[in-house]
Amino acid sequence: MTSWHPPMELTRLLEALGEEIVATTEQEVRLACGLDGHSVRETASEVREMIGTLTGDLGDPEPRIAPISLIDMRRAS
Amino acid sequence: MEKSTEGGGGPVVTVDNTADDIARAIHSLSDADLVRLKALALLWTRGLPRSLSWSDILHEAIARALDGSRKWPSGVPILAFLSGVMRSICEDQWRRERLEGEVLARDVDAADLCAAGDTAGSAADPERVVSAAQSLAVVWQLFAADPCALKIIAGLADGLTAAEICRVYGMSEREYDTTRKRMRRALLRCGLDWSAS
Repeated sequence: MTSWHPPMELTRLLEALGEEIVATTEQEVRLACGLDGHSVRETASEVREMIGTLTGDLGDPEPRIAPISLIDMRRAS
Repeated sequence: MEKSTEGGGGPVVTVDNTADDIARAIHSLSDADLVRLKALALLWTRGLPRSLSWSDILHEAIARALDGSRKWPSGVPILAFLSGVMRSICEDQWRRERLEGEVLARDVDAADLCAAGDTAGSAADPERVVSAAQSLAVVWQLFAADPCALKIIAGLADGLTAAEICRVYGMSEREYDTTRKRMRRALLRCGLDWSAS
């Protein structure tokens, strides 16, 4: 009987599934999200807005807010 | 400097890059890329010790990329790079959890905290084992109706290559590829609804 090591298995699995997501084509994304593309735009908009709070607009010398650790902020609260 | 080309995982920088390059690459991501980025964040949220959200880990990953604490290797697609940063964040969070637990248990001072760090990865962390087992169960549940996908999941968790999975589970190459495509769609479509599991 071999020992079971869930953290190692999970990490390997998440890495492999992550590679699958990275390898997904645009067509597969649209098929998965619905052919009308509505949910693609919605999701993209949601992520873009979140990213924008960190990076600001291109050309801006500074991001809108400093790229600090949100996780640390959560943990501190 | 910046020299970008389009790759399977979004823009790829072919020379040394800077925080500005990273910001530009992230800004240039297409709608489909951003959907994949969210799916990656949802995926890695499963590896975190607490109920942090996908936006927390994505925010943290981008912050680390922009502040230079994580370098973007040349030739690596931006999505693959950010996925790697998120993986690293998961490890860091577990390490921190373990250190805090040890410090609380021993009521030690800052010097002991450093010493504890040296042994942080040496023994199994019961909380992490339980959390990982629960996350594995959620992944299996996601593909419960697809026996072929479950075989691939089991093989990937064991660290097998595609060829090894096919050999061990008696799958044809075509069956393997077809199943992987179904799995990709499931990962994206569900947005891993499992985030709420």
